[in-house]
Amino acid sequence: MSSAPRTATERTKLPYCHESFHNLQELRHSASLANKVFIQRDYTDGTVCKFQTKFPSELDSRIERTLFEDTVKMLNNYYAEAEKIGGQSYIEGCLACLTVYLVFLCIETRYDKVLKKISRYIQEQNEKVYAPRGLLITDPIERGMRVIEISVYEDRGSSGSSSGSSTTSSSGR
Amino acid sequence: HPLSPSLLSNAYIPVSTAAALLVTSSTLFFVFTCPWLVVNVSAVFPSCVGIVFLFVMANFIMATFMDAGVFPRANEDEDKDEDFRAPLYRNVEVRGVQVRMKWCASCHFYRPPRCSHCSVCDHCVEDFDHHCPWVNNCIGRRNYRFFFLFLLSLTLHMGGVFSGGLLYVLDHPENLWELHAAVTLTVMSVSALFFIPVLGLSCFHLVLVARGRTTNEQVTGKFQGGVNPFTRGCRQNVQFVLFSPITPSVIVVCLYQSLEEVDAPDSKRLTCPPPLPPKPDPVLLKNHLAALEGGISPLVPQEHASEPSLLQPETHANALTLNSRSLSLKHSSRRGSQRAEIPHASQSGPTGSLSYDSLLHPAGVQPAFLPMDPGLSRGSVDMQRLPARNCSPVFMHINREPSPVRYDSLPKPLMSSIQERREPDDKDKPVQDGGIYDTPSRHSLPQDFRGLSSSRGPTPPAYGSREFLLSSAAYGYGSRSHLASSSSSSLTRAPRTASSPLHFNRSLSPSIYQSLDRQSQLPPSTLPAPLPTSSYGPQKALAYIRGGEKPEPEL
Repeated sequence: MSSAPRTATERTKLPYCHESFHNLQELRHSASLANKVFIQRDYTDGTVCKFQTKFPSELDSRIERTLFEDTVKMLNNYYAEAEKIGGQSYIEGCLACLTVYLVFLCIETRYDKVLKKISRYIQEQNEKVYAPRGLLITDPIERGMRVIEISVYEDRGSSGSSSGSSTTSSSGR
Repeated sequence: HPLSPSLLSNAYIPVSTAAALLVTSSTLFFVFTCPWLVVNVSAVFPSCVGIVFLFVMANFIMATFMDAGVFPRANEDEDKDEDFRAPLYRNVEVRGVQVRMKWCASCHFYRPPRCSHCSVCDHCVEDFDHHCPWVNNCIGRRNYRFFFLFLLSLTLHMGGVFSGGLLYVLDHPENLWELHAAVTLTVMSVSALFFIPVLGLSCFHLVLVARGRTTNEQVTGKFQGGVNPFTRGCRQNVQFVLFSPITPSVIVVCLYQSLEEVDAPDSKRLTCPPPLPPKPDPVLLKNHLAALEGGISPLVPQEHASEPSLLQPETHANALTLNSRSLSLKHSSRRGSQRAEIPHASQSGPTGSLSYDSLLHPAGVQPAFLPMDPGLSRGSVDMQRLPARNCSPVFMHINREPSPVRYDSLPKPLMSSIQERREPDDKDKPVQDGGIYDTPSRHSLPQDFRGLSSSRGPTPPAYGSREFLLSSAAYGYGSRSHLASSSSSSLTRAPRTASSPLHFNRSLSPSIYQSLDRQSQLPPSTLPAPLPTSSYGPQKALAYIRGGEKPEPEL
């Protein structure tokens, strides 16, 4: 996997922000996908949904370690909250039995609510933190809850030659 | 006709038999024996039996139709780091115990702990328990509790029916040839016949739940000598099985994702997304489609001047939507008709895919989505098929429809990489088509959709990420060499294009052959000797005796 050309630091004064990526729209129109980083699941606590907070080296130049870890920890907290077996899950379970599972048609379970919260959170993080740095987080549910996919974008305009070379290098892979 | 082979397919025989027996016997009991019981014994007893029967049916339906926790296949980019020289196993530590994650050649990821690949259904299932022929479904994380409760309640129900019948027969010993008594005797004998196996299976699963094991683990002897890292103690295990929140069905999410991806997301969408319909009623969908026809046509000609009328493929899309929805819950698309042609898709030709796309989009989305974006340029947004590969194979065959017209707007290097990428796709997994039109009548339980639709509602194809990835997907990842020959090292994975052969229905054949079949797919050097099969032999026999359950051991 080739490392992304470090045009960011060359281009801008700020170490981690790409000047051209002010928001997601700009990201969409002016950048191209360079790489994808996958954050794997952390199984040390069993099969609960939890992601590794280990900072991947590919993002070293793109984002601060603390920001990344905060995002992943927040996601882990959300998933832990969703999967918590406690008062509400008991109520939902009993209600489901009593109504012969018809209750699933009517109400939104707590897990569903937390999933919505997660989607909103990821969206917000993308808009505020990741898109300005040329990154994009994909909701893990779209990857089967197995990985968090972080797409790394390169600015298409300023890295014309480098993107050309990375095309040929990736097609040769 | 795609329906007929599937109806006669072997896979449906056990489940139809089970359902028929259950419903018929219980109905006969209620009609012929219960009136007497109400009068002569008490009204409470038959009503209890009635309630238990309702519970049995509810659990049976849930166990049959609920997605067991299927993992969608991994996107191609996910394993680009791990080429064919990567190891077959990856070790991970779970609560201090080393657990081996095996690379799944079909699904292209390392199987999470407790996940196993069901060869009957050809997908990986989370917390895989076994494949149950009596409900014709995998039993896994999401539906284990329904299966378990089904067994328990069925035992109770059979006991009740037998006792009720016994009371009747003991009171009418002289006229046993009379209709009511004869029917009661028949029902009694049916329940007596199946009582022992069902009771045995219930006890087996009671023990499994208490010990925190799956059937797969028990039967393959995974924790025989060692420690089970997944158990939390008896009480917590029971609590987990019965009361843990039901995780989302990711296959359904991928479905919606693919459906939504056809439509170019707009920034407006981020702020005011309408919720998805709670109940994908098939009639409703058809109406949506009809209503949206007018909305679609202005959009379509933007990209495709020679677009024919959308009327002809409409029925395809209807069937497609219905089937894809029902299949998304069950994901049993590959039974019996693997070699069936893609009936309608092949007829449509190059324009077929476009019609599919246009119709896929509205089929999955509220009407409110469509009319608001007439001005959207759909320029190069047509690579939605490629990233959608990570989703259920149901869509993989749709996505392989060529749509050369769409490539006009893309620059040449992209086009060439797309072409290169597409060729291996066509070779890859040829056998997963056909089942798409399998079960149109199976109007799935919408409860999964309800849960998912509400979670998807506020976050539509968000941030432009998907559209973006779609248009650039071929850019970074074009033309990988899929046809790498298998390495000579002993623990490497099979090449990516080792498409799984022979997924003929094996629900009635011994599972040992399935595991051997699966092993035969990989180069012989990559696998150790089939050790676990010998150890689970007697346990498997025991499982058979206990009611014909067929565990699906994954080695």
